[in-house]
Amino acid sequence: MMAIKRGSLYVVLILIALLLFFPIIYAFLVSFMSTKEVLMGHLIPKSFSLTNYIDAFQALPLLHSLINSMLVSIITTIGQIIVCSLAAYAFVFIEFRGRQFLFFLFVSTMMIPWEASIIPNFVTVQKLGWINHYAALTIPFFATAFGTFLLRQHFKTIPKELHEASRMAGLGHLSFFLKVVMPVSKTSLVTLGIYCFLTTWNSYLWPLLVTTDERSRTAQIGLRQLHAQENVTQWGVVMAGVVIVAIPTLLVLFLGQKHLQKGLMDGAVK
Amino acid sequence: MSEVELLNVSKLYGNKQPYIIKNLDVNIESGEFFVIVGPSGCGKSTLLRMIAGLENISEGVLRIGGEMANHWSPSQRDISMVFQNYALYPHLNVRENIVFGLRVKKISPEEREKRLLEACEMLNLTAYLNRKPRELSGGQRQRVALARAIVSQSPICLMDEPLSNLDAKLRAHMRGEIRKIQRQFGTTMIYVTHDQVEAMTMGDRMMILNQGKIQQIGRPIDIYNHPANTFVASFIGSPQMNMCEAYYDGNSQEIRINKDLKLTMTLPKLKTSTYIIGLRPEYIHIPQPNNPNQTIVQVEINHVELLGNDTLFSFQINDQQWIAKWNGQWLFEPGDKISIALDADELCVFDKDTRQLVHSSTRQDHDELQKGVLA
Ligand SMILES: Nc1ncnc2c1ncn2[C@@H]1O[C@H](COP(=O)(O)OP(=O)(O)OP(=O)(O)O)[C@@H](O)[C@H]1O
Ligand SMILES: [Mg+2]
Repeated sequence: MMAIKRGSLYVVLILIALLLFFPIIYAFLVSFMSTKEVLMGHLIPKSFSLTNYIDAFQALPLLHSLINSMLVSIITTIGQIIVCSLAAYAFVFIEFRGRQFLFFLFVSTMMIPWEASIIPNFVTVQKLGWINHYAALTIPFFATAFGTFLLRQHFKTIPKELHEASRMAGLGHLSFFLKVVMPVSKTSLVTLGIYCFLTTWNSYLWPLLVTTDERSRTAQIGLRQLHAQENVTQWGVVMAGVVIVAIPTLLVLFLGQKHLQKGLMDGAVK
Repeated sequence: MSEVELLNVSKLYGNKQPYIIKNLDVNIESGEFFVIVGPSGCGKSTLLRMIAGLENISEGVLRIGGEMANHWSPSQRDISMVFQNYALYPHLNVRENIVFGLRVKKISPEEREKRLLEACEMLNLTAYLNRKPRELSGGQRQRVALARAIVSQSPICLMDEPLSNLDAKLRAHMRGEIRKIQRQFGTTMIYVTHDQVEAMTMGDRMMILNQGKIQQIGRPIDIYNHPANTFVASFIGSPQMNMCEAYYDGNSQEIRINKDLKLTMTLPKLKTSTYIIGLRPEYIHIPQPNNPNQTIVQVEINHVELLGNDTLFSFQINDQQWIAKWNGQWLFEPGDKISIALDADELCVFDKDTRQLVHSSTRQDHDELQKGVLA
């Protein structure tokens, strides 16, 4: 009885998983097909040749845009972690007038959709002369309400006695931040890091707006260009590009997951 | 010289009533071992935290080494502290936790290592140096917290129930060790405890707090013998002092506990009235023939605890349960009727309304016997 129940549960789960994964699997399979095969509606490619992948690299400066994407994502992630953790620290460990109010004001900006502020942001960036610079792609994303909120919630779980013990030992704010707060918050920092990396890597609209030349374009925009370049879209080549662009995100997820440990705060207090 | 001086110190959390600490006045001498006891929530930790500079002082003055210190930062005060809940750094191992403060103070690596090993030796922590706090038991964590305070060798040390999680044997050992280190470095120690034995044996002086107010300050033995009020009387000593109301008749010089139980005693200062009397469990005696001081009374036992070396048994006096402590093993059963002897000289008498001590027992020490055994 138990076994049947369990077995049917697995069947259902596998079906749902296949359903969810289908677009990715299909994209992966298509990336090995010729255009003719795609149009004939085949599911499995005749042969696993890498011609589409080679074409993808030749049709575009794909490598260059991948490097751009990588740099932009890494810089944004590091910048965001630094800025948000410092802001969260101030909201948790420094007492000042109106702290609560300021925090809620800060967090309430999460309710404003990014698209609503995209025009003013664009104008600002343009006035600063950052168009086609990494600065335009990275700096606007350093301070985010979400990151600050996430880290503040975690910092709040740090027992106040740890701060007090550090103060008695003679640690200033900066050393306490670096030597205690950051190490014990590793899990949240990694979570934020992964989230930030993926959002930056996958962003499309903003990079499209603030970059106009090939040299500073990111991979997502490069992919889009694969469509339009020829009259008949070579789906195989497009999908090969998609698979290449998706690989780093998967890597980040797998590597990051290892660092998501539970119980980092265990043993601090009774 | 007094090292830590509190003048009329009061504490309100966030300017909201009630006062957690009210008009506290105490001088703690340099090199003194000062014990603070009191029921849970009476403000002991709050007081320590104010001295440490972790909590601001709402009213009054704190002096450290003779200087006004209300606004000194915690590190300026050069105080070490064992927190009630340990406050270990979870990402550092035992070794790093212990020397953490020494690193900040820029103490040389050799000196650091020396102090670390000494402290670990004493606290039996040597085997755990490379473990993280989460891999330690509660008692081991507590010892790490102790070690961290000890290695700092600060002139003032605050400890908030530092032995609460240790077993009886280790606790007895640690009592001695803490006292030894405190003497060796001449540390001014302010020590909060719930433990009767620690309170009685460790301190040079002891302060009893209740609801943020000082009940009594003094040498532990003096407090035991002359508790200032009924609160102190019932708080210090285990099992606690037996108490009940009794009527004192100034003419016949008799204390009437009930119609069967009357003790004759002279209390020249006292007028005829109802008082609260107190009698420690060890002053309920086995009747001895031909002892004119003793008043013998029959009681019915309703509960017995055999402790091995002592026997505790309880019985009813008026509306109160009294407990007696007799040396040795007595195999009484609940329901047994036995004779006990009371001695009027050993009574403490408290005012019924103010609950302050008006007369304390006059027979506490073994002065005479002591002369006989001293070589
Ligand atoms: N941050 C705070 N805000 C408001 N009230 C507080 C705060 N901290 C403690 N209190 C109150 O102050 C009183 C004294 O607390 P404290 O921690 O000093 O007690 P304690 O004597 O150390 O008790 P225990 O023996 O249980 O540790 C308690 O009634 C507690 O509720
Ligand atoms: Mg406490």
